[in-house]
Amino acid sequence: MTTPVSHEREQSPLLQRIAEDYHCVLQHYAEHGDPFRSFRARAIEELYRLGIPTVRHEEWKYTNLYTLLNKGFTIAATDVHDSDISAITKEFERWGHVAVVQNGIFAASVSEQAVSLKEAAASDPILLSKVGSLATIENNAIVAWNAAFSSDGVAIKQKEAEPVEPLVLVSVVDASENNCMVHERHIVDIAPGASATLVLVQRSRGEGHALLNQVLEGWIGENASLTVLVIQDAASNSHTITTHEFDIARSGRLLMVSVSIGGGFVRNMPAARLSGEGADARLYGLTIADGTMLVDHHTTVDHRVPHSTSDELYKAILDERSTGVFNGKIYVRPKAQKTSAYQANRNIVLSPRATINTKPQLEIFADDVRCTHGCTVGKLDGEALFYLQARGLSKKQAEALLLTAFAGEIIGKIPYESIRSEMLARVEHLLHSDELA
Amino acid sequence: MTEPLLQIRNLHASIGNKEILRGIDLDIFPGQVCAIMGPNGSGKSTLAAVLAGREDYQVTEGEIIFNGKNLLELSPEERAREGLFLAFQYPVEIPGVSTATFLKTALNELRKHRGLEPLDAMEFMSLMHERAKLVHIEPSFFSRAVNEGFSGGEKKRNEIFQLAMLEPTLAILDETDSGLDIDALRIVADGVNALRTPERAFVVITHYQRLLNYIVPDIVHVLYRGRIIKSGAKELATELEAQGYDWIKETAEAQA
Repeated sequence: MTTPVSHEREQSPLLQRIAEDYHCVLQHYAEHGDPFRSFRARAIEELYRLGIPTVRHEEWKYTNLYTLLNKGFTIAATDVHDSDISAITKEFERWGHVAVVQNGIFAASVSEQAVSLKEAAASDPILLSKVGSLATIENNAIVAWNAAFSSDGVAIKQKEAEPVEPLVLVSVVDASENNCMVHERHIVDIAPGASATLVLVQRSRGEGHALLNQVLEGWIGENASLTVLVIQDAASNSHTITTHEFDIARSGRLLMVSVSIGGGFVRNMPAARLSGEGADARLYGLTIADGTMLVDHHTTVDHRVPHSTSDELYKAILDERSTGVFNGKIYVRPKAQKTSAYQANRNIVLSPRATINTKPQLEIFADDVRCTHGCTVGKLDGEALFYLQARGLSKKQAEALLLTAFAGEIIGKIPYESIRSEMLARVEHLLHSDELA
Repeated sequence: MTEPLLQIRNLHASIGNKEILRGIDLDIFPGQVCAIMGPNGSGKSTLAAVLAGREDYQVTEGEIIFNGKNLLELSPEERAREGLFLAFQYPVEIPGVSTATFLKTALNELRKHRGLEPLDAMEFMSLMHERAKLVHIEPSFFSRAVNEGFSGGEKKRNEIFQLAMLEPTLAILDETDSGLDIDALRIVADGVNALRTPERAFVVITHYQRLLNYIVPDIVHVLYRGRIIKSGAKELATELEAQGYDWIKETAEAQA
């Protein structure tokens, strides 16, 4: 095995630091049994080869990772002492069964469907072989970084066709001692005909900056369905980089709704691979940002076989000095005739200092397909504002009403009434408060 | 004699560098139905827009007193809360906002201004059902987004429905008859007539006399090139319809 030290001469200070961290965690992991050992070694080599992407990298052109990483993060202490899991469980049990991962380590689950990935992989070679097979480390520094450092997470296996309560996966990052970075990894396996719902949330502890690098790989079997709700509502010292990749078999369905209304730096990279005929992926996202918040959605929809469908709608409301990024890749492979793909990105920019960068990226290699895309950037409709004011609403009320309606289209995609109405109320509150509009 | 509800004195208004209203004097009394007619481009809709407080227009001279207040100092929402209502010529579609949410917010704002308690959900719903009947609006409208996908006639009926809900003291109908077939026109006119009270005044802006067969005006003013060039009883509207605007244009130009 190559030791990180051999690379030192050619490495940036950041990579040097990563090399030192790696050396530390490797020893620690080895002492506790490490099912991912050989994978880890390949991943760190790939990370050294790639480096951490700068804005010169096409995929990171508008999102400067270094402004975040320059805050200086230490890799999470794997042991969390003040584990207050019951409080976390209580906070989220209204949405479903809660599983908690603290500093990247599986901590608790009230559901039999969700277990420790590390423990499950140690005794299940098939599960182990899935790790890294969908979100591959090749040419992906973020995933490689995760693979080199993550040691645990949640393995979710859903066999039931019966609808079950959502599983709420809470990622806790402890930044009470210093700025802390956590890598965690999850595997989701939905058996043919089964259905499941996953709610992903993040919480941090302490005053430091907390950075979560989360990789989730999901397989949706034939006729199976998976709903993923990504609720990003953490405080501004919480930062998130997510890679959520899914493979969808014949007639399988994925519905993903992201609500990004909190956090400092948020980069989401959801990807859906439609690998069976009749597979369907729906990706929706809402961003409401103010201050210096950055929310970046880099989506990928990969149509690999004939007769698959996809629908994407991402909306953003940007105020103050916030930044929004949308990059939507759609691949239609040569075999994928009769593909239907729809993509839209709608943005409302409330402040002259807010920025939006939006880019559709369609690569279509089949000829009999229906693909449409569109993006808009604008202010609130002045005619609509005047109409509401002429009926007695103040300008502020009129703006809030229009913004809530704009945001409500995404919230309306959440298929659970209780979560939907709670999120709508929160969005309404946010848009009526003094901070926005 | 009662005080006028609205007094307009020497009103001049422009859009950009173009002067559109060039000295309008007009009094409107409580309970009165006042028709404003005139050829295209005479300034009818500009007058409506200035009264409602549209920002695109600059008032360069003159004053407007409404309910004893200087209207030009009030924002559009303050004007609405004081009891002024504009039925839009082109009602705006508002996706994602239901008619019920919109009207409840608006009505409770007006009530707050009048020192009244907000209506609760039950009271509000029964009021909506009652007033909707006036203009033949189905309750299924309430949950639909405001004006979204409505036909021209539905949009105009929705304007009158809002008028019925918000109970203004001065209602300005800006070409409410445009784009309506005869049946829709009758429904709209019947709704307006049902809403006439001794306190409430209407300004009916129209190009054609047709609407005035159903909403009978107390007084008719003819606007041409930004001025009122002729005023008269309801027969003036019939005369205009028969002779066309050229007749009155010639008279006006001869005087000028």
